[in-house]
Amino acid sequence: MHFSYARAWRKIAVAVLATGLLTSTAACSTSSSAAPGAPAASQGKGTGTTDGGGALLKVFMPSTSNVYLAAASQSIKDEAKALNYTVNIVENNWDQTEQDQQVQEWLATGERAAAVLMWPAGAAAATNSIRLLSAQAPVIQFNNLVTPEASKYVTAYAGVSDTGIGKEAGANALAAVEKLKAEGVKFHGPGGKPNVVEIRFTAGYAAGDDREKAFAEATPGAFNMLAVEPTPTVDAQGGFKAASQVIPRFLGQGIDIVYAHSNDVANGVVQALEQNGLKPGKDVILITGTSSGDMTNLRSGKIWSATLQSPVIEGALVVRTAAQYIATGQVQSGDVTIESSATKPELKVEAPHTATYMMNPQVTAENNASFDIWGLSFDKLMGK
Amino acid sequence: MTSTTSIAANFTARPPRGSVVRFVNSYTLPLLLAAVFIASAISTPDFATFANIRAILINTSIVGIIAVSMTAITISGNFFSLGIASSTVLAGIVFLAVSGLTGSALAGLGAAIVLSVTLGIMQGLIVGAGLNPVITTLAVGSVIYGLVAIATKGAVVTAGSVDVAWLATWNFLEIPLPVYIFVLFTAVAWFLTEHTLIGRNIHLLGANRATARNSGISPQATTIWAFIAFGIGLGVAGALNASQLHQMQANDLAGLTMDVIAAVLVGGTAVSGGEGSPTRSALGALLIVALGNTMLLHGLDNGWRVFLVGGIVVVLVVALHVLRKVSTR
Repeated sequence: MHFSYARAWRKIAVAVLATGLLTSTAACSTSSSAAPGAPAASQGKGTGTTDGGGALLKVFMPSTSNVYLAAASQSIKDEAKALNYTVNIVENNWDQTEQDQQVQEWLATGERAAAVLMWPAGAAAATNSIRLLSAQAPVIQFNNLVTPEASKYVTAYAGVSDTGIGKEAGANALAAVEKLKAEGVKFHGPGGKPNVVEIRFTAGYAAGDDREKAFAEATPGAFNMLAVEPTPTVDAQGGFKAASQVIPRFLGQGIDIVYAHSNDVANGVVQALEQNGLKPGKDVILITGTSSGDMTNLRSGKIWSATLQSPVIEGALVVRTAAQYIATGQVQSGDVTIESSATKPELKVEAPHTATYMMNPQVTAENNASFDIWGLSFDKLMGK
Repeated sequence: MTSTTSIAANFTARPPRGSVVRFVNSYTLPLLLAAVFIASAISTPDFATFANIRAILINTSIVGIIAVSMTAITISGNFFSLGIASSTVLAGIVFLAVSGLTGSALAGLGAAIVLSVTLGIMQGLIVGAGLNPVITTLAVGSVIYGLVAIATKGAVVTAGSVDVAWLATWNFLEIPLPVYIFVLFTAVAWFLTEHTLIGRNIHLLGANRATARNSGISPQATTIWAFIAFGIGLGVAGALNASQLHQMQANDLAGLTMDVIAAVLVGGTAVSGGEGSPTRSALGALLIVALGNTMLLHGLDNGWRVFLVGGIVVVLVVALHVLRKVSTR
């Protein structure tokens, strides 16, 4: 009899605890849907103003030990301050697992945010974190394009377009060829086509895939592509390592153009070309993507041109997109690329587009000193 | 009284003279390297060109210098340094900064070596006192990375308008200076390791720490000497790397640590210590680069190249380990 009573009491206790747990969970759910930090997302209508009123923008992004991210981070803070938002940034060491953990820890704190700004460490593996975040606040993704799997959880995208950079690099390469042809330069490829070597970002890196594809699409049949070689790391060291071994292979055939995915990588390519007796800027035209890294070679003309990818613009753009969504509670379908204007556009209370891309103008030895976008010089645009 | 040299000779595991196994053990790597070069030259268009061989040598030089200098640490039984990448980056940044301030690349080189040796002595003191070398060097590497990242804020460091490139581009017979420095460094390291008292002490310490201590050899002093050699290599390699690219940033050289460890292992240096040679580490570095280059010229995708080089390294390390076991029975 004693045992029966004990079992019965235990069952009652378990039932009471379970009921309590369910009730509290439901209460939590209710309170989260009415969270003051996420009014636009949960109610489908906005605050009607781009003034944040001190609300929190939570940011998850990789480490600011990289100069681009440090500048983007500072720009996010500056823009948020201008729009009266509070910013809290959580950095990871380029590790999606670490970012996943940070997301879960933040969600567990119960803190509320008006929006989450998300730079996934690895976009392909970040879907679950984005899904979890989207249940708490609108997610504005930046820098890494939204994957199809994550698209239903991401409210809007703002920032760099790797496709746009690849297209711009392709257009720059075509323009360089036309200019050189007019000067009487003969190219080494079959039928007088220029021989091209592409030093791309690391194999499997989505930004590299997009830039490679867009460059090819922008230059259909114009070049004789000798090789597409990935770098082991996306820096000058990686560029040198890849180029110093692939260039000797094609010396006999003649290399007319090298397309490197970033100016940083191209700095390594310059060294490899020179060690093989070639003069970049004269014997070989070096066209690059992102205008990152040391600019000495670009300014001296050894690098023919780069493509502007400003961390300052990207940081401001993602905050502006979040503010517009919070103000309107809506997103316009479609993509838009913002114009290169000398003055910073006034932020209007209007719904942001599904994707808003930065401008990617050409940067050369001739024009880098006279850059003026949003009132910023080229160095300022690069966060220097 | 028994001399240190004779004790070292007894405890450094060496097979009997004339043994076939010893021959194979000693000459496996040079023979393999020769076989790879001959096979590649026959089967691979453009492999045997001067430009390609030069590219292989240039790509080997930085990793090779560090691998050669780290061999003393491994022979002394202190495994590896796992802070190679961040330490080399620090040396490169100091080289560029001091070169920029003083206007002299040689002053920058000197500063990079002094700093790297100082850090080496500090680590040698800690490891020599008995702390785990893996944990110590890993922690020091993290501290250095953090400090560099904080100090530079992730920015690219250059020497400004000061010409530092000559250190990497000056050439004789169209072979650039880093290759000659690599060869010289290997020769000096070989002499010091094989033909000096401190070299024998390092071998003995790795072969049998207790016996070494009983023989009056100071584990701490010997370990510090090994780390000093390593520091010199890091300083030189960091400066050469920075001069090659005229720039350096905190996140550079991500794969360097593994490349160096692979070169030392392929060279046949025993992880447990007591056995190894700087020349074999240099050949190990050369073999890895030559294999990767051959596959690149054959047009293999990057994934396959990494996979195959990794696989060959594993097979070589296992084969050399088995050969060593057989030869010491």
